[in-house]
Amino acid sequence: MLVVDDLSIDAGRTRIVDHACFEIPDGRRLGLLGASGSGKSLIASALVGQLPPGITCTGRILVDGHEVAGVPTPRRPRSARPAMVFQDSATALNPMITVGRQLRTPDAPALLERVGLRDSARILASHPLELSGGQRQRVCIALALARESSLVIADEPTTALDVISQARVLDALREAASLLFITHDIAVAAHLCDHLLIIDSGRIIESGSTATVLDNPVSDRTRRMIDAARAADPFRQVVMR
Amino acid sequence: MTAGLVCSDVTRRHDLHGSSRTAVDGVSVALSPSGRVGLVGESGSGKTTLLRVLLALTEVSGGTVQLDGRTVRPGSTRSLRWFRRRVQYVPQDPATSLDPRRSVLDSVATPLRLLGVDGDHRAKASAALTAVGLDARYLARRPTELSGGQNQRVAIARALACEPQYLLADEPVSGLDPDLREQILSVLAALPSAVLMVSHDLSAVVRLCTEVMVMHDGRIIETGSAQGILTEPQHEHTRDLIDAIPRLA
Repeated sequence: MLVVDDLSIDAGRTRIVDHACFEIPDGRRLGLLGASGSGKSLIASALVGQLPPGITCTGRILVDGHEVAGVPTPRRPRSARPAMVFQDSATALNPMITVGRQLRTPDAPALLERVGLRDSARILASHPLELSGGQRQRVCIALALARESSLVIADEPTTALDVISQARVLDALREAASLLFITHDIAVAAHLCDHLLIIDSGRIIESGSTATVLDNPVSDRTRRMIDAARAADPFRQVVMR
Repeated sequence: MTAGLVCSDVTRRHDLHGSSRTAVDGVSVALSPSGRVGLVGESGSGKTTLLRVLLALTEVSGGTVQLDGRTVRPGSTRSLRWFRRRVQYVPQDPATSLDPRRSVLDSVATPLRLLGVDGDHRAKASAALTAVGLDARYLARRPTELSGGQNQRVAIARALACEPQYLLADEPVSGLDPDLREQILSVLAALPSAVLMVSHDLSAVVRLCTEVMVMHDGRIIETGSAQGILTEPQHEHTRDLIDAIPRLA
């Protein structure tokens, strides 16, 4: 279980995240939604103890009962280290060694299958830069699942993927014990997550079950996000032509 | 002679760990001077390799690439000046395609000098940046001082500055939030150039393109109008692609 209480993140005198509060009980899949620069990724960095130099946080972060706000990953108990899937798969993997040597587990072929990589022998023998961006990101998700952490944090993990690969990855992420899914795409979040949290300029402006947020958005920002997603529906665009 | 950027029966094989993998397998594509073509397909289906073939950035294992009947092959900047002036590229990841040490203005002006374009390069670069919504405040900034959407617009301005007849864009709106995505699509929609857009975002393709090609396992498996592909897909894989689009009720 993750509890975030009164979390603020600052870059010098600039407040980037302002008094955020939320929790992820075991089994929940929470979608964190917001525009570029709204503070989503910094919240993820704070949760895993990897804030960039010069960025500080205050408030409380409890992972499985351990208070970890401001504690870097290596100094945390193993159970308080959420598995992270980063936005940029090219820099998340070691380019010098094969996927097989990075995914050191007897279950590697099965894990790759779960994230939609069927040609596991070839993938395991490849170096990351020999794979497409989509294949690399799915390797990152396999690595996160291999850690069997109680919480997986995925920061825009499907951004680089086509819709079929995206659907496979979303299915794979359903197997995480609990999930924080960061995205700007509310259609994708609604497909995967049972609860949504909307952040705007560092402030959480709306939260609730996915059905409630979609059916009865309370903020203009959320309403615009939903309208934009519906307008971007390619079928609707064809009808409107 | 066929007018336009044309590849005929192109094959591109990669040798990997002693085995050969065919990334593009006997593909023929014709982008007319007024064409608006979308190329969609799964990751690893060969879309980006095909784009690199069309841009003369990678050798073909078989087949030909021609611009207005003149064969194009990878070569030095000097030998391909004539081609690069007419065919420009917007890469998928602007952050890694822009020199972090150069200002935005330099990044857009330098290709004009390398391509031997006539006129005041800095003035042309400034005009191209203005066209994508980046005014004088941004000219001296470096890529690390810009957002992802702003860097994407710099990459588009760099491609547009020499007024190409053909613009080939690889996932130009991938990873952008809805507001930035809309900005970039508006810029692309207003271009006078022919556009070939590689994307896994079918919504963006429908918005921008009149013709859609679906690629799978290195081959073009279906071609048609955006409306036809969406509403009456013929190939099983195209149906899978369309069924997988996440939609809000």
